[in-house]
Amino acid sequence: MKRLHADVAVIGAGIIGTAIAYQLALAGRRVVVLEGRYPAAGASGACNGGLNYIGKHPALFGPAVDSLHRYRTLAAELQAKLDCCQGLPVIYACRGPTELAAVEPLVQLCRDWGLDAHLVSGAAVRELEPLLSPQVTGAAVADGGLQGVVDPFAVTRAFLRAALALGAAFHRGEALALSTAGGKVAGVAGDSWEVSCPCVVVANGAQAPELVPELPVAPCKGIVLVTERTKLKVNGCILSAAYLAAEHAGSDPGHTALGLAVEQAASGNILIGSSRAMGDGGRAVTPGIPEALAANAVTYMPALAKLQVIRIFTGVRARTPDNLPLIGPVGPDGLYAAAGFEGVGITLAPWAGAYLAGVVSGSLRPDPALAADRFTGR
Amino acid sequence: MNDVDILVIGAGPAGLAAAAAAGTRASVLVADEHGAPGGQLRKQIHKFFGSSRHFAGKRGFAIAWELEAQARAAGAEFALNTVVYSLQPDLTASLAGPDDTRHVRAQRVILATGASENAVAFPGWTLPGVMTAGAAQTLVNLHRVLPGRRGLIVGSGNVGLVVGFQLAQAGADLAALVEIRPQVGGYSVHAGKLRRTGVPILTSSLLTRAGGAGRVQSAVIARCGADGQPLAATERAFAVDFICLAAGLHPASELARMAGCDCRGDTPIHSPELETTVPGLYVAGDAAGVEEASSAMEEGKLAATHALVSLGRLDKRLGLKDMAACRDVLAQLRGERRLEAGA
Amino acid sequence: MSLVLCRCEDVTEADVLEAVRQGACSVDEVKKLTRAGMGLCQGSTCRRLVAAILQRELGAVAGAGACRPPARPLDLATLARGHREGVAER
Repeated sequence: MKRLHADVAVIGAGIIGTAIAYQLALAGRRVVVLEGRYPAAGASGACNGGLNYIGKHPALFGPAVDSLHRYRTLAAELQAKLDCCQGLPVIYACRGPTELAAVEPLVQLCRDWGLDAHLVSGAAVRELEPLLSPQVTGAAVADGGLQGVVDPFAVTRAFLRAALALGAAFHRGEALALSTAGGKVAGVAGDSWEVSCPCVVVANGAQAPELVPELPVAPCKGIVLVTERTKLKVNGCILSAAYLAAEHAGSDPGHTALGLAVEQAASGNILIGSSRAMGDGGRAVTPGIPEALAANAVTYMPALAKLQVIRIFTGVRARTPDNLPLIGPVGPDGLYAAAGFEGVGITLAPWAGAYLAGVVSGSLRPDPALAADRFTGR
Repeated sequence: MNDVDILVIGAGPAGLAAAAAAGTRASVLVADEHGAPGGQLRKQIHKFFGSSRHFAGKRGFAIAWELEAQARAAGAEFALNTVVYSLQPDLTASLAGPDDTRHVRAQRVILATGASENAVAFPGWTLPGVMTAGAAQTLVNLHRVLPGRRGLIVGSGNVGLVVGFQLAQAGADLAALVEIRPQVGGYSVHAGKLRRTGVPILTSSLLTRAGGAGRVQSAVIARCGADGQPLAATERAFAVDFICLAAGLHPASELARMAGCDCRGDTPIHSPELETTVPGLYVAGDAAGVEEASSAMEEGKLAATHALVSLGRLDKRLGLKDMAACRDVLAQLRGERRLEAGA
Repeated sequence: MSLVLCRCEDVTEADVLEAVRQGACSVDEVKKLTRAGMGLCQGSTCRRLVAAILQRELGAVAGAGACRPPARPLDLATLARGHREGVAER
């Protein structure tokens, strides 16, 4: 039995867990990061890496803006190459006035925060993104300089490396059980190791309920098509009005919602999503879904039709009943959760790290709308 | 969703033999990414030896015609120029053909996807003109184009020996065939044919690097010891404009792994009747472990017979008899190969 | 100059060794760190070369690993042709 001692154990080396580990280490805590597979092996390494504020829930808008500001200086702070490109527009492409009306509140929310966003005509949006089809009659566009795309795998590795440089430890092993003593957290154990620590942060996404059953996190599978590298340029992040509906669709297991989400990685590959299969925590590429994603992409962006799809990957988002993350104390003293980020984890990670570190140290009062125990009470 | 009793993926010797064996008793669809059935047989211009059960005395491409005719006569349908791009554990396959893209739900799937050639990395291996032996064989036998004027073959398995001989016959000038081991790997019949064309077979020798500006222009070989390491001061350079790598094959198990088959290395783990760890999913031919065409045909028949019995389309006693016969023949073929390898 | 292992993404033996030094112990992890196997051929050439290096460096017997669709590159239009209405809410 390998025994480790720490001030805090962070379970899950995804982008959220490593961001938290970095901030805690920065605050002088002895941190151990526990990971069953490898850094960013889960949802963090299986997504399109979009950085957006438009479309975020009002409770997450402030955190998103805070996070996007942090991204501006993150590469310098972590001394790492993050392939972070900010200053790209986010476009909600609409077909018809009903869809345009549906995205209008997104524009209003951005403006309430003093951020750029506006409704534009079909002709105007095609000027911004010539790859869009004439079927697109209008769009909500946010082009406030903060949004863009990042390599989430690189960000996760960079947070982890920075945490290690500050004295944190990394341990490969799946956390199987929490231990408590007198209503307080005492540690966490795997099959051949245990960590004694008064504080545990559960940040392992859809797997969180395996350790903390009262966390209402359900899997939500997404499928993404990856094209070959191309000289075609996708200008920012292209979403459809249906994407908005899919994000806010009901969470009934067995239900699948689709919406267009197209972005281009720094490598030149174009990533095409998105699907949400509620309750599905598997890795299978469900027949019919890649075809539907491809049809959607070709409808909105006909010029992509000849591109080769070289890879199709799946990722499992962690979804909560109200589709807002669970972040803060839960259960016994010393236990914290940071899970259920669904599709917003990449955007929110730098904020989430600082926020949870603040909550753990007591310097920040947790937001009740995001409280980890809001569904169960304390 | 189209339903089919048995989906055969790959129309090489294993797939065609499976379709021929199953077609009269079940609905069979054979999918192949190429425009004509036959797989590697289409490139084999030499006469096969062995037994009449496996078309001895016939050339490979003619065997492909005959197997295709048998499969079609049995009622099997073909989907050619069709890529099976997805296979799920519930045996739903996704097919992209020239006219449509569709999903097929099969009761049984026989994966007869053949083998892929092993890559070898050495300085210069990415230069144009360095290719696998299979690629050279496709060029010369299917497209009737020589890969170059003067070449070098690496590897003395049957693939290297046969392709070397065919290149020599087609007019290529071969500097040598090099083999890292102290003895030739393939059949002595094939080695003899190559030697008689005047191509030296250099054993205990290896290719250390390829050179050239923009394309391969030279190959450097050296003698090596039993450890496979080059011996000092034995290097020799040949001016060549192509190099063929025949460094062995491994089962093409992409679809098997996609469907969730357990594998040992690249080889799907399978029962004696060739069923994998995914129920109803079979492997046959090189996809089940690299051998040669006669074994592939026998395995195709064996897998198809087991599939028919399991579907209730063939009397069990009859099926068991047929399967026992297939397994006897397979054992005999493997015994002969061991003898040949020892000779 | 280090030997190129992944021709599609220009990944060298030195890159793979660096990934191993950083703690990578599977072909999948090497892929995510170096991009080896992320190109047009999806590792059909380099996967076994990378596995051989892992075997040599770590003594690990690396299995062939999972495989995802598409088994061959497919253009978007061909894939889109397989779409049928009613698979999911759009």
